[in-house]
Amino acid sequence: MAKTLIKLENVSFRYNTQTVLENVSLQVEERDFLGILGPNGGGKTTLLKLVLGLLKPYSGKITLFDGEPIVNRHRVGYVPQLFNFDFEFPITVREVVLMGIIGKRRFRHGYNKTEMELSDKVLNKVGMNSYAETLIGDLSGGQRQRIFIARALATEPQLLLLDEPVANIDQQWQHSIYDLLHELNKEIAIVVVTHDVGIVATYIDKIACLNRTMHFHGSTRDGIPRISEMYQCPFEFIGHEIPHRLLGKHNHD
Amino acid sequence: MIEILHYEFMRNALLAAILVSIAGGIVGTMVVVKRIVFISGGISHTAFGGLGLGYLIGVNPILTAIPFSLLSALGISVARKYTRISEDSAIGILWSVGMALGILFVEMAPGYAPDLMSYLFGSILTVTTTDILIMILLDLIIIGLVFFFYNQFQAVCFDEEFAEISGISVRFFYSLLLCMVALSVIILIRVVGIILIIALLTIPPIIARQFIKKLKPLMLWSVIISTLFTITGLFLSYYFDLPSGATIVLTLTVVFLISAGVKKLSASNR
Repeated sequence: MAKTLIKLENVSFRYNTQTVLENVSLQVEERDFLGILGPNGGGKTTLLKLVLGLLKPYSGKITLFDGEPIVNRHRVGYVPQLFNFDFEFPITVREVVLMGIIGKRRFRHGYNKTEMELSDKVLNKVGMNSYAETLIGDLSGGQRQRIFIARALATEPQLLLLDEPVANIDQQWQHSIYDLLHELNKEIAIVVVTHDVGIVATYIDKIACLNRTMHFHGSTRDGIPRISEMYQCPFEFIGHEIPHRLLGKHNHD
Repeated sequence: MIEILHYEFMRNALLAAILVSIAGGIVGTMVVVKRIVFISGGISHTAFGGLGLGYLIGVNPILTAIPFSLLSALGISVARKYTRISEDSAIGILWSVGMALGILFVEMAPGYAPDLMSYLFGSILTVTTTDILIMILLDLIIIGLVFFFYNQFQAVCFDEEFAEISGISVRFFYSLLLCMVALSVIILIRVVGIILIIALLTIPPIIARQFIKKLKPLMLWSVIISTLFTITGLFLSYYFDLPSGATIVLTLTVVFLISAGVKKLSASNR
């Protein structure tokens, strides 16, 4: 049986009096590629922050790698939304990537050989090895996203959590980022939250819809083989009724 | 030009110019990139309460200002975490309470406070050897902290959330950063005064940032630029008999305007 990485049991969350999440239950297992789809303001980022122990649930229970989120969150590779960042900030690609292991390093100046090798290795994995000394601000949106994925990989995670990984990134890069995630999924579980039902549908193998309450639709593999595998080429849906067409009819109430 | 170096006050002033530039350049760079200029303004004004206390109990006001500015730094950090008061409101309160206490203490102190103005607006020519020793000590603390915790400070300034997840205490390093701002304030008081401190924390890094994009060189160049033009301001104030703190700040401002113009021209010529 596959190991459970994230388990949410009847989790609710409120900001002041406003209920953002209500009775959400979810299970993420090894090697999953889960897409959590939902409108903006539907609670997707809140859900990720709960899983990472940055927020505490109002009720319900969250288990991360069989323990408390706050204890085990360093084993998660988190890729936040890019638009919150100040990209004028003076920081190089290598410095960003090595933030991934900053909790483990001792207090001293400069990076040692192991750290240089680790950063080269993860940058190589995302195809950005020639950019180590470049400033993050000098990169394009797609390149930055790869760097943030590399930073998450530097933590040597068993699970990647990505928040809107292709928002404001041009088409060509969107595919290359999902191709990269698809490749990484051979070793680690991946959870993507997004409001954009387009491109993600081609890659994920489990779907959950989130808008305050969650509807887990399970595996897309059981019923329908993954579209991209079927056609042997990248494939993208256009139109807002896509999940329904992909999954067949399903009710939310 | 050389003969004025025979005066002890001038040697102290030059030394002070370098020492304030080290603190102002390094910490100021972080203040500017982390965008905590207003917080730093709050910490510096709160220190006035400490100065007043010094007058009241008859101790070197610089020494009593140290706990005041450190406490205000920690107070802002705590307010951010535990209260529902927004950070900028908390700063506003500390800012005015610090000033109010200072005025009260000075009023209650016996006699007249002749050099009060020099703490408010700076007086680089009256820096004493004791002041210099305090500055050296605090500069060493700042250099040591930034040297050993460079990556931690950079990470916390760039992405607090990820730093927290990766297992470093964001609250600790953020508080430590504010404490370094507090120590810089102490170093800067004698030279530019409480009211003008924020200029030496912000203008040199802003000038440097137009041309330098990486953090370490940015700190280094902020120190160099600050040293150069604090000394220029010092000589201008000496020869034209102008108040030193204000002259230094205005010198830096003129340099900033010229550098912004140069930057603009070089960008449009490209």
